[in-house]
This record gives sequence, C-alpha cells and structure tokens, in this order.
Amino acid sequence: MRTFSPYRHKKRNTSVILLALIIISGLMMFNNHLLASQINKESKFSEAVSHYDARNYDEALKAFLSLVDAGIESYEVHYNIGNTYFRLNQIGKAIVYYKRGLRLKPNDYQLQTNLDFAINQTQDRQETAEPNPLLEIIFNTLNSISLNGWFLLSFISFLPVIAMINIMLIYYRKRDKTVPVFLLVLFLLIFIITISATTYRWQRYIDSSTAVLIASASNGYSGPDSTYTRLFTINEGIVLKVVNKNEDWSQVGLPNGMIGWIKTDDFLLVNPPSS
Amino acid sequence: MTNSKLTRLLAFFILILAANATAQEINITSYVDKTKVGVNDNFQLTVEVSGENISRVSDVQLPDLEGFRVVGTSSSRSSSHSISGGRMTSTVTRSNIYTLRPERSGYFLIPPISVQSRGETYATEPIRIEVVEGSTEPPPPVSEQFRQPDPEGERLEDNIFIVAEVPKTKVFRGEPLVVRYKIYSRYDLSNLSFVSEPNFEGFWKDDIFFADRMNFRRETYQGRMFNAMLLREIALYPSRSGTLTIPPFSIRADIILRRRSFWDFDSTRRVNINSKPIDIEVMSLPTADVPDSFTGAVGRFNVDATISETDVKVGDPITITLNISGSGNFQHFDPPQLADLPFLRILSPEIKVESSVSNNSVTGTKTISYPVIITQEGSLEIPAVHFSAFDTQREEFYTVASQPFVLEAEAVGQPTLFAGRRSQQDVVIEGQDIFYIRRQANLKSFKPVINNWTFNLLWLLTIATLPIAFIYGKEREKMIKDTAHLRQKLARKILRKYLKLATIGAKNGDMAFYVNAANGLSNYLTDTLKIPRGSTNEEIFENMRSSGYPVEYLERTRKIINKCLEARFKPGGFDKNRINEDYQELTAVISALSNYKNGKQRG
Repeated sequence: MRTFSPYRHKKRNTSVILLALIIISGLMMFNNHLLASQINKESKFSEAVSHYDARNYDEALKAFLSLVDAGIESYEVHYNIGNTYFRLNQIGKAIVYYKRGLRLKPNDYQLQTNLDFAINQTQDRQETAEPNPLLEIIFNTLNSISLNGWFLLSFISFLPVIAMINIMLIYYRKRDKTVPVFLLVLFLLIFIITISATTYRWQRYIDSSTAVLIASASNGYSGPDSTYTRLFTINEGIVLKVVNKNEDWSQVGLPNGMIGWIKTDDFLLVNPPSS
Repeated sequence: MTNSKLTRLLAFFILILAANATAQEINITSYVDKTKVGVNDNFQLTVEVSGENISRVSDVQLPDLEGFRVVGTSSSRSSSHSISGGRMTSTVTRSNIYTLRPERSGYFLIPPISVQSRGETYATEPIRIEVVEGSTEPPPPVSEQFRQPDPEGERLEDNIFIVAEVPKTKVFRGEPLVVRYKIYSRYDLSNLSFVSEPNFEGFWKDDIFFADRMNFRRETYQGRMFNAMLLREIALYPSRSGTLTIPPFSIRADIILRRRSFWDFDSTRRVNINSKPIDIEVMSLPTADVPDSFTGAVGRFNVDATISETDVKVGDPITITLNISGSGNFQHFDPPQLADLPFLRILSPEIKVESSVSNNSVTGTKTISYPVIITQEGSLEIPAVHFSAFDTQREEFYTVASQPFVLEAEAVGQPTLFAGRRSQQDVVIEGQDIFYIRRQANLKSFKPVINNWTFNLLWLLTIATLPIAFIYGKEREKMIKDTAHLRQKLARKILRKYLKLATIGAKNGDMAFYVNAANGLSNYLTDTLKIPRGSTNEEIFENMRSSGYPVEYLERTRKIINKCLEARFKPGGFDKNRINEDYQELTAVISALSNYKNGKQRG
C-alpha cells in the first residue's frame, strides 16, 4: 500500500488546482463589461442628478429614462426614476420603478422605504401582511446576497457534492461507506438549500405578472370589454397581478383577491423593464 | 465697708424692681353680648380689668346708665402665668358682669367706665346700643337635645330629606353652577349609600366633593334643628341653552329605631330619600359682538404670559406659558391660539388645569405651555395673546391680552457643549418624505450569470468528472484486487532502479554493482513471474523454464547471477577489470528479458 502514496498526492494536487481554476474563471466572467459608452452614460447620469437638484424634474426624468433606453438595468437608476416620478406626482409610475429597482436589489432599504411611502400615498388600501419574524430573517438573508451571488454560491456548494461522489467512486468502491455517505448527505443538504434560495430569487427576478396601475383610475369588468358588468374601480398606484395579458384588455387580480379585466394601457408591468 | 456697699447695691435693684412694678399696665375693657336688643330682652355688659397687680385698682363703679336698669351682677376672677425672658409674669383678670334690661326703645349710649389706680384713671370706650320694640331673639328651643321622632307616627319626609342647594337658577350657557346636596335628618342613621348616579343631561359635570363617611353637624333648617351632612358637591356647566333639570339625587339610609323599653332591641328601617329636581334656566350667550378670540370661556379671567428665554438660538425649543386665572369654566374652553408667525413653529401645547370651588364659584388657573421653535435669526416680536371670555355679571364679552415679547434669535454656529446633562425630549416628527436620489450609480447593466454560457459550461465540466472518476475507480479496483499483476506492471520500473545503482557501481568499479545487479534481477524475475520475493535462484529458473523463456536467455541469466554471487561471496571472485565486461552482459540480458512478458515475446 505504502507504494501508492505518491500517486494519491499527485491526484489531489491536480484536483485542487482544477477547482481553483474553475472558481477563478467563474469570477472573471462577471467582469466582462462594455467600456465603450461608459463615460457617456456617466455624464448623462450626473446631468440627470443636477436637473433633479435644480427641481427640474421633467428634464431629470428624460435623462434618467434615456439611460434605461440605452439598455442599462441598474437599481440606482430605477430608484432615481421612481423618485423623479414621485416628485412629478405620478405615484403609479414611481411604484413601478421602485419595484423594478427592488427586482435588482431586493434588500435596498431606501428603495423599500420609498416604495412603502409611495404605496401609502395611494388611494386604495393595499394590505401588507404583518411579517413573521422568522420568515423576516430568512427573507432578509435571501435578499442580502445578489442573484448572481446565489448562482455562484449554489455552484460552489455543488462542488463538494461532486467531489464527494468522485472520491466515493475512486476510493470507496469496496469499503465501508458510512463516513462518505454522511458527508455526501450533508453537502447535498447545503446544495439543496442554496439551489432553493437561488430558485426563489430567480423566480422573483423573472416574474412578469406584477404590474402597477398608472392611469389615475381604471374600471374592472367581468370580460374584455366595457360592455360587460363593471366589477370594481381601482386607483393609481395599486399593485396588480396580471393573469392574462392581451393587446387591449388584460385580466388582473387585485390584492384583495378580486379578478377583473382592465385596459392594458392602464397598467405597467414591473418586468420587462421598459418605459 | 464691703457690707455697706452690698446693701447699697441691693437697694438699687429693689428700686428698679419697684419702678418696674409701678410701670405695669392696667387694662380695662367693656363689651356687651349684643348691640341690638329688644325692649323685652336682657343683655349682658362685661367690664374686665386686667393687670399684673390689680389689687390696688379701685372697684368698678357703674356710672348712671340712661335707659337701662341693672337686673343682676356677678363677678369672676382669673389669673394666668407666663414666663418670658427668664421672668415670670402673672396677669390677673377681674370681670364684672351686669345683666341689663332696657327701659324703653331708642338709641342709648353706655358711657365710659373708669377705674383708679395709683392716682391714674383708666377708662373704657362708650358703647352704643339700639333698643327696638319686641324681641330680637328666636323663641328658645324646647330642649337642646331634641326628641327622636317616631318614624311610624310622623311624616317621614318632614324629618329626613335631601336638599339640592343651588346659588341661582338662571345661568348662562357654560357658566359654572355649584350644586350641593345636603341631607337633613332628625333620626339617628346607621348606613348611607348612594343609589345610582343621576343623569346630568345637558351639563358637563366636575365632581368636587363626594362624602365617603358620615359627618353630621347640628344645623337649623327653616327654624328646626337637624343633623345635617354634605353628601356631594358638583360643578355643572350647562352645554346647551333652554330649561335644564338638575336631576334628583337618591340615597338609601338605615334609620335606627331606639328601643322603647329595657327588653327591646334597637332595630333599623331602610328608607330611600330623593331630592327634588330643580329646573335651571340656561340662557345662551349673545351672538352679537363675539370677539374673534372667543373660544368658549365664561367667567372672569386674567391672562398672563411668560417666556422661558428671550435670547435664543435658531432651532432651539423655548416655551411660552400662558396663565389664565380667575373664575369660570376652566375645563371647558379651548386654549387661545398663538399667532401663526413665519419665524415660529408651534408644537402641540401642554395644558394643566387647577381649580377649586369656593363661595359657590369655580376658581383656579389654566396653564398652557406652548413649545415653540424659532426658525429665523434676528430680533423677533411675538405679539400679545388675546383671550376673550363672556362676563356673566355684566352680560358682555371682554378681551384681555398678555404682554408681547421681543426675542433675540442667534444663528447656530458651532454646537455648544453643555456641561452636564440636559433634560431630554422625544424627537418630534415634523414631516415625512421619500429618501433622496442616489448621486452615484453603478451603470453596468445587471446580467444574470445563468445566461452566461461559460458559467453553464462549468457545471457541465464538473458533472463530466463523474464518468472519468468512474472509469478510473474501476481501473484502480482491478489493480488493488491483483497485487501480483501490479507487481508485474511495476517490475520493469524496479529493475530500472537497480540497474541505475548497478551502473553507478560499474563506473566506480566496486562491489555495489554485483549487489544491485543480483537484487535487481532477482526482484524483477520474481515480480514478472508472479512468485514470492526471496525465492531461491533455482525456483526462479524453474519458473522461467515453465513460463517458456528461451533456454538461451535462461542460461545467460543463470550465468550472470552466478557471476554476481561469485563476486560477492567467493574469495578472489571480485575482479575490478571484469566489471565493465559483466555490465555489458547484464544490460544485454536485461534488454533481452524485457522483450518478454510472462515468457512471451512482446509484440
């Protein structure tokens, strides 16, 4: 047996190096960005900020929105647009942009506070359930790491699972497997937790059913036309769940559980982010 | 000599004492028990002479009294002692009491009465007496201790009842009205309990007094003697105009029935007593000429304002205190508003009311403390606070004003450090707004890494290690299962190691060449033939033959092994000159053997 030891050492060294290489190359990938129009965007942003400071909200909005049109998806820009809409007294659009910001950075305190403040200004009561303290801690943890961070974490937690299986395939073919199986279960549990968290965050990110009413008021009907029975009237800023989106009329659900058809132009979806 | 001196000194002291004694005041006073008497009434005139030593004072001689007749005299003497300044003084008072009876009606004068003492005359003041026809005294009661009436025999409500006392029955709306409920009883009572709270409809009510124990006093009510007790005192503020009723007040009482004979026991009888309702006419306040600053105050008030600081810093809180004192409905009017000024932020005031009832009116103070924050620097004037109320006596509105203040507000520079702790306050929320925008942004677009193909490739790569590990593990298992196979695989390697050592030995021309050559060949052959190490050379050759190695190589191998053994163990078998030759032979044999595996020629 003794004679095999140099071989085992060599194998372990190579696998460690391989693992490190995988992680490093993974990290490197996040940094691939376009520098071409970066400076142009920076100047556009600071121009918008100075417009905002001069209480020139229309100009500020135009400048911020041009950044979004250029394909920038940044929570700071969404947040600033939300604030600008709030100042322009367009609560509905302000809520949409705060929600778009939160979609990218769910744990941002200022975003959340401004969203709550804006929702408080709306006319319709929108119940926010009293949070369970345990769930609160869990969601805070979930939200404190970015979506890409979760992807990376789930990948990193996947590595010991694969490594453990590999070790078992190589060294534990005809031996007592109690210890490796125990470790494998442990690693698998960690992996399941991280992959569930990632899935949750991913679902939140790709969710394209949340919308906000941006018309000052809208009537809900029992069918996709105003000749149907009128079911309710909702006011700007109410958060909706879009069940069925069509060209002219869409079926939406209200926070209180009611479902009806409203005009598609009256609301704005949080995702996809387009003005 | 000394003796005479002492006597002289003593004599001096005695003189002083004597002088003191003579200097003692004599007081004489006279008074009557009433100054208005009926022709048929007697009255008493008392003359008192008091002093430290009145034995030498002459007796009181009544002068001639016009219009009165002395019907009796008596005298008394009393003394009192007091110690002050280490000296005891004793005052003796001699009183002469004369019972006088007027002779006719009219105004009369009792002239000064004088006494003589050591040649001095002391006199009293004259007293004026009015004598009227008839009698001024009420008829004397039958007996001081009235007889307990029989509740069975006499009308109960004549002997036990509750009276609601109100000072007036016509009030203005908001004007305080003090109501006193009193119980009058000629019975002995053992237990009093309130039945229920009356419904004071149309009134605001302030409780002032609520009896919690029995406290009866003798009192006459409509010429008869009763045991009386104050049950309750309340201040009522009419909240609407019209005719309002003060509701009856009910009480439950146990009357003690005294035993009539020795063999009887005391017993009680429970009765309910109600006061009579009283109608109050409430007048509404005039609607004309109502001042702007009127907030519902009714009564007589004064207003006084104080300010905590006049030299302030911008942003510091100060307190303006308004003191409204007087009599009226303190609890039931709104505090006057401070003027809205651009340099002043007024926070919600703290109001404290202290009131009491005296003489059927509610008096007290309403203290209103306005916390204010100065928001501008400079010399600022806070104008007078106007306060209006309705005067129920003169039936008109009036306005009083506090004095104005001038403030010196200083801009805040460096924060001042205060020695010691200041009193702390809760931070007041003065406004709410959204957070400010972000001035810095990371303008890189967010791209989920799951859309990145390299990231996904990493997952695939990791998973791809599994079949590799599976194959490798299988290989390895085979090796572990067959150690001889492994040895066979490694044999050439080990031979190479020994050959290396042998080569070094050959170059140096020493014994190490033969040792290593023999060991290397022996190990290599045992491993490749899969027989235990340490087998004898004969066993090795036997196996080689049976494995099918060509005889030619077998002989050459045997030869070289024997040569090695000879060189190692046979005396004189080691020859330096032959090493090189043997090395050539060894490498030739090994290269030939290595072409065979398990006796078969390698492809």
